[in-house]
Amino acid sequence: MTLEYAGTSAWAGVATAITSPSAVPQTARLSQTVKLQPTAVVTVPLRDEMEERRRIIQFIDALKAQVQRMGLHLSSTLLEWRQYAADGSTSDVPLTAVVIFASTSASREQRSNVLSDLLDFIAEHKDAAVRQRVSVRVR
Amino acid sequence: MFDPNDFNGVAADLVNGEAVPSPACIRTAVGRSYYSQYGFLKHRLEQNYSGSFGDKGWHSQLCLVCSESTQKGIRKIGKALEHLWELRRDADYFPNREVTLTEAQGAVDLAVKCHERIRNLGDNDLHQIHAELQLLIAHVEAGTRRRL
Repeated sequence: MTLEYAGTSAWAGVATAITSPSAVPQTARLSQTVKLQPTAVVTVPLRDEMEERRRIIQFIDALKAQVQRMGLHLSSTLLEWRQYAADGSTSDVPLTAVVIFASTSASREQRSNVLSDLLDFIAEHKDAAVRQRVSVRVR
Repeated sequence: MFDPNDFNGVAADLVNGEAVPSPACIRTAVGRSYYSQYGFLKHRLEQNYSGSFGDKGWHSQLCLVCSESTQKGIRKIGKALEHLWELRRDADYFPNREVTLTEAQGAVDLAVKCHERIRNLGDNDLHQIHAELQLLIAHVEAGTRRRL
């Protein structure tokens, strides 16, 4: 979902809802199960240097092992990305790897844990050059 | 005194309901989740080091100092803050970039975990963050003065 420029007046609606408590749902449902197939999107902006590519490939290998330890499996997108990086055929294009749950549905708690675990995993990665260029999205 | 963590409660209210929230609610929520933890960490630092932020926010600098800390525990806080900050930036400044309900709910949950970690920071951790932040602020301000 995106908010178009023409629709930015929608912010006013949010302000109204926040200042009128009856319009805002008050019940937190943190354990609510959402029937979606969640994906985690990891983006690494690549640069030209071969050394950086080598480090990023090493990171992908480590990420793959981590994802498998979390009971998830990788889509083919990640493998294509890895090969793409190894070929040295990319420039500055941000590349995306997608991690897909093995199950067809996952709870919000599971998705949130994946996000948190992947962020921790990146934070623990020894290579600062890779750490600085990696971001995660769980969708 | 206002507790910045209450911002995350507002974010949760916006994205936890039965009905699918509007894009404006989703975008508002990620901003509140980010500010809840940015504000909490800033508050903890200023409790020990009054005035350490001056009159500026130093958002990206705080994220950078934490995410590149020599201590893993602080780096984890930094990566979480950085994630929330990037979502908040997309939500508020880039209307054409997608920010989903799943991401907003993830931000609320991540802020809850981040809060626990920030709360557990010890005086030595806060000292390290403060010292590195001051170095970075001095570097940025020296660069600004050179350009003027």
